[in-house]
Amino acid sequence: MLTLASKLKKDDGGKTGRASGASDSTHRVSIRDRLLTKEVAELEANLPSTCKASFPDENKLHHFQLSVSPDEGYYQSGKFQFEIDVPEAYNMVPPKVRCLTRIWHPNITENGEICLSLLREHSIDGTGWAPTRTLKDVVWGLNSLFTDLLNFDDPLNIDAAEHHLRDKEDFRNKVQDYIKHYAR
Amino acid sequence: MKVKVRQWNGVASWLWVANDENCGICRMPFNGCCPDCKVPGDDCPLVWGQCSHCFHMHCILKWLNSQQVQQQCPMCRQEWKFKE
Repeated sequence: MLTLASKLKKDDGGKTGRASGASDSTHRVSIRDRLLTKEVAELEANLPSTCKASFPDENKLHHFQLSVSPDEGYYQSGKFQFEIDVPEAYNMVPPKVRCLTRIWHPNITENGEICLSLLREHSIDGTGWAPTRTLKDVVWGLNSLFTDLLNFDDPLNIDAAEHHLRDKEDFRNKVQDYIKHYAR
Repeated sequence: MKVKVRQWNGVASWLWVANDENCGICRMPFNGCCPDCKVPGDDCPLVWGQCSHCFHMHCILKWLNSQQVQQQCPMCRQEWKFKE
């Protein structure tokens, strides 16, 4: 078969069509940045009404903050800040996300680590990150941590989950207390 | 009227026959190549899994090589097996 590839091969003396790694990537837009221009636009067009994304540097789409203001449930009236960093190897690896607001939540530690299956690079049960996912999925997942995905049965902050199991009213008070102090 | 053909040029075009426009991993058109390649065609082929999902070969290999535990289709999360 006559292909453009074989023609080009002939033209430049047997060099293959595949890029040859590091030397080439310097003057090509990275895969991540190319994906992000599409995904950030898609994200901003489909943001949940409870979320706001802000980009401190418009030229660095791989670093942004998300604020979530839940309109129902235990966390209503709070405003929670997340920091999202998209590594160079995206979309083979998931974005790195931290919660900047101190929170009393079964799936988020007080230090800001988050338990959300989508953000797991390697998962045993097969619910982790996949390159078919996008930033939009990540933001909707984070937003759902305050509603549908709020999960007391598989906690990261075990104390918070046990607190809820022991005394739901007291749990609610502590959540609201944290919101008063840290999440306004 | 008599016509004598002195010269002719053959032109052909090709397309990958896939059930989608774009690769779900790199989001580039199947009829283009993956982001690591420069030239579409035989050097950057498409491959199918037994689950019937299709990707640029380089894209799915990159993903499978990064997954030590299980090798799953990134679309449907079934175990990935190349369709013969």
